[in-house]
Amino acid sequence: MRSRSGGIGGGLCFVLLVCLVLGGIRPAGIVHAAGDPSGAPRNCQSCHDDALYKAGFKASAHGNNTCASCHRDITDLRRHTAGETKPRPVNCGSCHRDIASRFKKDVHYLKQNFQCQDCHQDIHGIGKSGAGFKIAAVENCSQCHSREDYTRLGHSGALLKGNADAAACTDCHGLHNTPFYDPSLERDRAAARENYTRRCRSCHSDVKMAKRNRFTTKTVASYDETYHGKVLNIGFPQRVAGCADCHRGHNILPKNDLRSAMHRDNMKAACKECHKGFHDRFVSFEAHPDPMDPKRSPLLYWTNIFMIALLGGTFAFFWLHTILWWRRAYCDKCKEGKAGFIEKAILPECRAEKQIQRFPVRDRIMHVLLILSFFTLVMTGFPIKYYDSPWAKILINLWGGAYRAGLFHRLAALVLCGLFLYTLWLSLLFLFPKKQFRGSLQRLFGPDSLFPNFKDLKDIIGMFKWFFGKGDMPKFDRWTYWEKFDFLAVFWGMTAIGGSGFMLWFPEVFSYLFPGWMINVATVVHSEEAFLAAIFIFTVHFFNNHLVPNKFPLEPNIFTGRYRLEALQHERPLEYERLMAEGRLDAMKREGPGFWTQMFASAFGLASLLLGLLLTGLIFWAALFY
Amino acid sequence: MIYALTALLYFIVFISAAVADQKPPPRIEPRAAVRMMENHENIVFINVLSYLECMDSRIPASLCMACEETGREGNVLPRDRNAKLVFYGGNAPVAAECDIIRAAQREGFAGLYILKGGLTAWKRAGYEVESLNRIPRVPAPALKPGELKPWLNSAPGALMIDLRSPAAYQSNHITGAVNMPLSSLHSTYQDLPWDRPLLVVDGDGSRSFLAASYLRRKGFENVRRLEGGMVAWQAWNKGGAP
Repeated sequence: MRSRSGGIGGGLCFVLLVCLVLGGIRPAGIVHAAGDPSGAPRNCQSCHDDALYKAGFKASAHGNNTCASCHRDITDLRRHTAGETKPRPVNCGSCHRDIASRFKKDVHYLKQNFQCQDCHQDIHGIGKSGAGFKIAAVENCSQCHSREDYTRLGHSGALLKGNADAAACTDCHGLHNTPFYDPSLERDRAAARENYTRRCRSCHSDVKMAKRNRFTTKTVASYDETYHGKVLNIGFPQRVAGCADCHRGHNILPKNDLRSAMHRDNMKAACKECHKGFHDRFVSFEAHPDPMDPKRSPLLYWTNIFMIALLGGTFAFFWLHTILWWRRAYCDKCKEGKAGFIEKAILPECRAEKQIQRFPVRDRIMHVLLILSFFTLVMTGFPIKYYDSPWAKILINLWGGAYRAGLFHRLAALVLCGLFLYTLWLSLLFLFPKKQFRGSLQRLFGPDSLFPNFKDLKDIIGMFKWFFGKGDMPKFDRWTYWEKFDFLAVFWGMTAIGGSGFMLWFPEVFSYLFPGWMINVATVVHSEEAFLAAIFIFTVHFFNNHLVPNKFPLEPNIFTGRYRLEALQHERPLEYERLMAEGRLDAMKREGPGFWTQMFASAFGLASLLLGLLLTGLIFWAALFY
Repeated sequence: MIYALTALLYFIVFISAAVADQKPPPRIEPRAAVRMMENHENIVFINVLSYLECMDSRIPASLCMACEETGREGNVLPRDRNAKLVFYGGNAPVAAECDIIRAAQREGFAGLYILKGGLTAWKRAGYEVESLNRIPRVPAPALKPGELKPWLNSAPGALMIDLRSPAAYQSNHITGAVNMPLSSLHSTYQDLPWDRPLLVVDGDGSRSFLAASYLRRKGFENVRRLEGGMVAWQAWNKGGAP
């Protein structure tokens, strides 16, 4: 049927009807009406006498307004009634300034040139905001957005069934400020991801709402502990999945429902948006893992328990060791340096002192590279681990953002891997010099080896006796047991952090070897082992080698390569005696390090120490309070 | 030999001219365009969307010249060849092969630009627009590509209207759709059957709402639109989301 009337629109613009039917009312009537709320509707309603204008308008949200308070341009009633002037569209923004301002950024205005009356078509009968607002919003939006799955299912389905907590369109997309995102622009895609994830979070982390609706707020907390969550929270949503990337937003259904975005078949499609070339088992990755739930993820649970035990055991032993050592050394220092400690050496070392060559240039360069790569890893990785701490974003921004920090993290990891492999090669050369296998066992457990032996066990016991004044400090050879631990810990650490790091770097490739949930395991291992390594180095290693009272503030021999003969005699008497007996000591004697070497050693060493201690403070601050 | 060289030279010149002719104008940000206006440069904005869209919303004092409106360009382009022309469309990038732009290139205007992000970017930057004959929007339900077939089964008399240019329609279209470009809809809508359900289809779903509203205002009661337009239709046919 052809309709010439214009349908709904005809009822909207009552000012047009005024032009056709009104007549004979003086202009003063309108002018008067503008200042007289009781009089204006009466005057206008003498012509506009529909029920909508008589009863509906009075009961509406604008019922206390006069007609002319909105239709301000109708000032000449004679011309108005004669149809000589065309009423201009009402400027709702003259009262609703805030909404009008926000609407300038609304996608409906930007892309479709919507005006207020396009959605508020019943403007003369518009109700006040109340309990039915959410349902009204859904009904209004779905007049154009024909999201059948949305209005039948998920959030809106629950809302239409009477659950006022369920999200209406406006809860996620905003009201009068529905943002416009250009999908061709990466910054817009990232902003959309951040916005919708934030909106999901606002309800799903609401404890009271969760209790009322029997869902868990762990969903948000567990997402935040994944790589996706951490990187998004640090402010880099460009390359990670937010809520809607997996859940898709409009078909929130149980995961065994074929229509659900969480159905196994559909998840694959969601993962493929970002990850390419993975095995089907990749989708078993837990986007909301719970390491404390043994039934849901047993391996993750036990990995977590193991890591907690490892950290607890290591720190319990070495921090106790450190505290006792410091106590004993401090007491001895107070007694003018008894019990085998040398006098405090103030940097830089005195060139006149006799010294020996302890570390070749190769080892010194390796250690500098190790320090640089280690600090890079800590300073790029820990802001992600503690994304919600105040310093995390500052640190990330120092790197030029999370993306660049990630590049530096990977570069440093490669340097560390290179050092590790080279050390492995040197260890093999040490054990099998010139491909000689004979005597390798003696070399492995010999005094020049960094591999632990029975004497180390005796030294540990002896050291604890010395801590409590039950004996002398043990006599050490070339390497002490704590130095051997430092060295061997790297082998374990590199396996754990390096292996898990590569899994996180190339998750698709590893999906051909392991199921997707191994990425969750790798995340726990990488994160906890990183904490162990960083805090161990910055507390135990720093104390044992630099901050112990007789060496404070710095033992620079790893940078200068030289070791004072007197220190060798006191700290490693067995090595001294061995070198003397073997007649090798004279060949190892050197001049003291040059000025620039000492300057570099002091500056670099002290800067590293201070940076490490600062990072320790920041990490503990974040671990304890965030 | 000399003929061969002449032919080669001619060929090179011809190809160079052809290539130069096809080179799209540089893109300009809304803010840069406004700055040029503030510097009293002779800027003319040209809306290359349809007449309906241009009347509905445009940069103040723009000229309305739809890309597909061939044959009229010589008459309507500004006479002042020193003018700098800024072409703009909606959110989608203006096609470099737009007839009006080609005509302007041939005419030798001092400066030709394409407004980056089109009218949407202009609004997003906070600049005002004018509406000479705005089409009040009317609810126009959308169909997703996956819902199209069931809908056609339930409404056997339905007519699908492809609002894109004839060239785009020729390259691909939904079987059964008829081509009625949006640029001429204001003069051709009366040819549509008043008693049949209509489905309007555009390129990416951003222009069909206005067309549906226009048809509803003109009295067509059962008008729907294809959500996401042909882009969504093709994605769905390749196995994408319904």
